[in-house]
Amino acid sequence: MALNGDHPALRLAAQGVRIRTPEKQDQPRGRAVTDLILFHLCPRNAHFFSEGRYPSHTPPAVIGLILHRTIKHLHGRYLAAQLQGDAHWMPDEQMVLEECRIVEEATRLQGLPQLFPDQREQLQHMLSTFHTLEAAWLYPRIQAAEVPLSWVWEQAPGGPILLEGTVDVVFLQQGENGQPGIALWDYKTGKAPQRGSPELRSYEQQMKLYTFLYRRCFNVSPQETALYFMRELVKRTPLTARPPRALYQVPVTDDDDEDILEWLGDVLTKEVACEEQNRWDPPPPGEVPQQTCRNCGVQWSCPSFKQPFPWEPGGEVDDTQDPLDL
Amino acid sequence: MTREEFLDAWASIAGNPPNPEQLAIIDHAQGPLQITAGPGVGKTYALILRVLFLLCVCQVAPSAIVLTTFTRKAAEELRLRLQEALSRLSMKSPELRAIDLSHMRLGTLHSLCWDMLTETPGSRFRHLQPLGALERAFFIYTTSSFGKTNQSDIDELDRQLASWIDKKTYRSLPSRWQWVKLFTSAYERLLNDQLDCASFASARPLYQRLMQLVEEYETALRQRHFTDQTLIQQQALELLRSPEGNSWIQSVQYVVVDEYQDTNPLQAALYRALAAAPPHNLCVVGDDDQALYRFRGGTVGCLVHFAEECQRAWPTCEVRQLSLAENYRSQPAIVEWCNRYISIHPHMSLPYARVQIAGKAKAPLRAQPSSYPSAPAVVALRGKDLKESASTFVATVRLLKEQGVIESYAQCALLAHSIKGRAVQPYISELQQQGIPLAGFSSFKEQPVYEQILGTLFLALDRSKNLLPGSFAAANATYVDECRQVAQAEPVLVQMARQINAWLLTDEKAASTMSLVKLAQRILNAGPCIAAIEQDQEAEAAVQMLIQTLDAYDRIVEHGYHIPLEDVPGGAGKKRVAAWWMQRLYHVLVEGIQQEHLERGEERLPRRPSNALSLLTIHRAKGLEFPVVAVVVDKQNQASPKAEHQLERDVFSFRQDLTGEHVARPDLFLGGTDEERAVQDLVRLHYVAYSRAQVLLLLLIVDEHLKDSPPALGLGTDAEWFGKLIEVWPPRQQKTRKSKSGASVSQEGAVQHGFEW
Repeated sequence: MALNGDHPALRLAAQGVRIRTPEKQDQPRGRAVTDLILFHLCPRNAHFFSEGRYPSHTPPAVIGLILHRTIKHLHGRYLAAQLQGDAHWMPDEQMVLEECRIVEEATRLQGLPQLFPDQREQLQHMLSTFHTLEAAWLYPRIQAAEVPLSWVWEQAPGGPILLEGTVDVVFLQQGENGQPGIALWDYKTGKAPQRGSPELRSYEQQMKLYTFLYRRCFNVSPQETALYFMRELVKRTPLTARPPRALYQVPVTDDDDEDILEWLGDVLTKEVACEEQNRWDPPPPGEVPQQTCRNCGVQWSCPSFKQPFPWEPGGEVDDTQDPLDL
Repeated sequence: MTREEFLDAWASIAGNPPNPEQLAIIDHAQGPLQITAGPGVGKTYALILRVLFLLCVCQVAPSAIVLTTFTRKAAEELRLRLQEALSRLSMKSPELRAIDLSHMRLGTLHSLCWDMLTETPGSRFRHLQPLGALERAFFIYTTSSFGKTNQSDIDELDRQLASWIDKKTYRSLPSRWQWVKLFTSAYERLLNDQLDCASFASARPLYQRLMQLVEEYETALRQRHFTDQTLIQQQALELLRSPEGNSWIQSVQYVVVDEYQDTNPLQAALYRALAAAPPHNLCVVGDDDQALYRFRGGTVGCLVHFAEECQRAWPTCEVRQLSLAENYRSQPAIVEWCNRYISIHPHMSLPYARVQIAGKAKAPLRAQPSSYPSAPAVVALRGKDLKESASTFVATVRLLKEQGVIESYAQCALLAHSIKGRAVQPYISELQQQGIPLAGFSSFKEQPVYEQILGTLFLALDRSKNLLPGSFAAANATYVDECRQVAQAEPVLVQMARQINAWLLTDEKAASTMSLVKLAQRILNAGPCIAAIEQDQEAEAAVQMLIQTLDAYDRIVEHGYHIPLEDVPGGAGKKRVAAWWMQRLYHVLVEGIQQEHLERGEERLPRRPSNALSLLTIHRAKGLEFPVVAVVVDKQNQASPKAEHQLERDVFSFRQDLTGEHVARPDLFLGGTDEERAVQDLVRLHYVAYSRAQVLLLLLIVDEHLKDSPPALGLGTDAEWFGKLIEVWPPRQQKTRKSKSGASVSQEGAVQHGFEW
């Protein structure tokens, strides 16, 4: 097509019209604590996972789902009973097991993998033992369950972020000095990881971030921040007291804020670089917890993990690994 | 914080103070408020301002505010912007740090309803799972009894039913996937329009049959602990109308609704129920001229009749009507074009077609002064046919880039009613031929990586392709072949398929723990697939869609995870994937994918910066803006009434939310006859398209459009303004006639840039 000076595009140019791409807007990016923890462990896993590319419906993941849903419903029913003036409501063993049965039945009918009898038994055992050991003192102190926390960090690398997280339960705790204070607990389905292991370090970082967010949201410093490892409750003989490894106290103080911001800054800087280059390289072999790699949807093409496909020599179907329960 | 302190702080953080229209919105004290907000008027800004004013100045508790919008993406964006603004205000006034926005009820109406139903501990809804669009499609496909019976009289009824819903005459029953689509829209219409189901069912055997299918669907949902997004809203309304819902009503002080033009009677009733406590602080924001979702049950009448319906519900209250008309988006000539376009068509002037403010037509948009007042802003790019028009368009885009008017092709968007239609293909071809990068033009199922993964699955599960159902449609079989061939072109995938096949048939644990989605997740790790995913965002999005589809198929259709095997007939103990399972997969999954019943989702704009020109449907472009917008004016897309118009009118007399007076005059209440509403919908659709442009709006036309006057061009009965307001490029050849002396002379009336009428 012949062009001449009357063409609209030429006249726009002649009039000095130059459309520039606007600077990046200051609208914060939403970032979940759990996504950042996973990214810190392995950018490749986090990138593919956060895109929702592979649904995790392994039996251990379903156990975790049922356990969390059951506890959430029971905590919620307790809080509602308080509001309705029933101060003495407390779930007994039968209620706990019935709630667990309904949740399990619903997940099965909804098409999630069915639990094997031994898995069901273990799940019921964890829930009933937890309530036997903890309900009487814990429930009357519960302030809130599934508490959403969020905070905007204006100066975050790459632009402001809205940091978000949900803590499983917040309750009133008598501190060592006799003063009442706030405690945050997060329930984990698996066993307590070894001290110093990358799994435990990830969980610790998660709780530090929740504590940091809680302080930002409510202007109150929690007295206790802890992880509760449910599978530590599974023993051959009935338990009369909480096993020492079940509860892991995460030491957090107000002075940690600077470290937390530094950690966040490092992670976000790395994330921005990955995004810009569209490269999501995994860390070198051995730096990521095995269970994270075993539950990763791109483990078979990972340059670090090099897992053979299950149909190749040396490959296996392994869907029994507990996922990292963030 | 006082009003003045708030406004000072706001001006310093936002960079610009509110205009008088926006100030009027924050100063509205109490009672129902209707805000008519045209395109590009800073509606989100005004919403944020209003909510922050309530929180910071009026000291309303966050938990007492309900703020809903149309999509999850829009809700997320609103939440982030609110949080950001509050955070900045808190730096000026530290006492505002005590405001915790996480307690505010902000989201889509669906999420709000879900919270209402499940937050009550011990609620019977707490174990339910709402079905997503994909899951719902599979669920209806597998559970509906429609067409499953051989009784001829029942089939006859089903055929009529399908004809009634789809406005087509079916000689035999429509395909099962087609039925899923029909049933879904009919179901949504029945619930959304608040019908009296008993009188509806008793009116005609046809309606009774439909109600049976509805009951069957809802029973199946209950049995599998599922619920439906529309049903959730119905159940939430029932909750609010029961004594149990009173605590919710008492806890809500302000209800703010965005995109109210796409609301339906059920949602309107829900909002009124939430604001049932005096002084009924229900604030709705929307633009009737941008209502696009009648086909999904949206009813623009909810906005048009808002004031009237509030007064009927709350006779003593006064409804305030405000408007935002100061346009900050587009060049004045584009604003002028939009104003003229929306008002010139006679169908838009019918009673109740558009919102009236205090009995008068609403004010037109007002543009900001332009820095380039004489630069072209609205241009019709013409050609004698589609090919020529496409060539003109692509040359123009290229020239804009070469001349430095645009920095990147990403500053341009090509919008069309459908991106798969015949009218768009020449534009896509021309852009590709000229090497201009284009995003969003192919459907997921055509992405090579999508076909590679699916093809590898077919090769692995049905190695010799002998499990294809006998009754399989040719088009579906062709798609299966295409996928197999794409996979076979990659030796790695062929080998992988062989290995999977051998593994499934010989390793007991393999078939009992694998599923389609698990196999696909592993296949996507194969070299050619993972490379495509890592490098190409379109490929990445396609794989994500495929995985979600397979996951929904596994859970809804197969009820779990395993691949059943059987003995090969006469195969001396050899195994194969069970024929019935494989045939179901071909029928349900392949047919669904092939007929594109399983492609859903929000817009696929690039996440990372890109130089690609965006090709979008007009529906997906809603809420977006681009410096250069080109709109394909599709002559094929005549404004004839569609199924949604007929359905809306046919069920009208059974609506419970209307008075007898309204019911007696459906055409008046709805804004026109089916034909008139169809034209209105088309005009609104193009109004949305045209108003996306910031600097340059290009109308892509072929010459015959100028004679046929399709509604999309807005020529209406007064064609003259078209030529005056916009220029046509290239200008038509001046018609010449030979003078007696043989010299060519111009014919009178020919113009260079305008158009000759």
